[in-house]
Amino acid sequence: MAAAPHVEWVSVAPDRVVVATSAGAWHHRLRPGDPWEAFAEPMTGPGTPETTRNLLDGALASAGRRSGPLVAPQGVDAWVGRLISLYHTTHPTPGQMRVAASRFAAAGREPLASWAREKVVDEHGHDRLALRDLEALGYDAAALVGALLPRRAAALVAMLDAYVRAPDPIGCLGYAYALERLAAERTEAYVSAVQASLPVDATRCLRVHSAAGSDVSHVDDLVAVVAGCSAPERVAVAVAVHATALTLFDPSLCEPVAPSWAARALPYRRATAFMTRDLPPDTPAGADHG
Amino acid sequence: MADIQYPLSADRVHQLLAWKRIVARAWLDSSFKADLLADPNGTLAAMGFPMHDGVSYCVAEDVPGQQTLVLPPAPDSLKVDGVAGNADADPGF
Repeated sequence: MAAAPHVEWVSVAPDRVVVATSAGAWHHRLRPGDPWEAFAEPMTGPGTPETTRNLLDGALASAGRRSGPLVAPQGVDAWVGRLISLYHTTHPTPGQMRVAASRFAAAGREPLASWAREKVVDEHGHDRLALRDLEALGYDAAALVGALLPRRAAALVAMLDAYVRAPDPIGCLGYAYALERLAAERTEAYVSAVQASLPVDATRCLRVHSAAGSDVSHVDDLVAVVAGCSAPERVAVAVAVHATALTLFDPSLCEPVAPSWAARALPYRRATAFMTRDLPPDTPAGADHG
Repeated sequence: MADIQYPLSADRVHQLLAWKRIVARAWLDSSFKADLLADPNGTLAAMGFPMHDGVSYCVAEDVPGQQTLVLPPAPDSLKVDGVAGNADADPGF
């Protein structure tokens, strides 16, 4: 007879629980009225790298409806909005992780403090990659990101700030997991498809936040840290993964179709060579400067 | 086991109210209990238990020295790659 699998679980809604073993994660609906409902109580017991990874993946996946394959945004108009978002979500990360590291250290939680200190270093400079990409596309990047803040990026930045300043900042691990795990879903083919739609190399920031970048190993590191946490801590991380994913997937935070990103970013375009070629024939070069 | 605190649907509340009456009658009426065990769906419906289309009910009796545990249905599996397309932003930590 096979050994009973190790199980981790977390409640993600009043009637829904994510249950994980080393083989995967499942969405279990609690059975009202069943006194033998196995997953109504908070998780207890230790984690393992395999089950904790699936617990966090399940908490993430349970936040979204089933979607089709990931579709790469096409063209400058679509990509400029993505880059502005990438700038805003990466810019505060090192500073926020410095706060988290300090607070974990003050509480004597050295493994968590060590992880946060590594993030201060690992995530440093990623915002500049987004700025370089925007500059390459012909924008005054600093002015552009100073003027435009996508709603979803604003919500995410506020979320990370709230996590690191909460009485227990451990939710920042869940926030990091959700973003880095989803970044790892961006394959080489996805990056190539974005790049192929652009007139210049403007995927520096994306490459770092893709399966080709460092986020895959960061996810592995994070799983190892979380698996060593207590059951209540792992629950808190998984709940934060789920909450972060809800924000990432929230349709109410989608940007309006009009005005397009291209129209909103237009005042910050420089008259670069390729941009000038792109302008309609009756538009004088430089007329679109902000 | 701690108190179970999650919302019951109105339908489930009605089922539980009917089930209370059915349980009490089975304790008092051995003929009724035999009918309930032999023909649970017919007996439940006759007692006003709200039935669901396409759902068949099983009734088992616990006796001293024996307790019935119910396996929940196999849940849906969760995959990150199945939901990654929900966001209109590329995640950057």
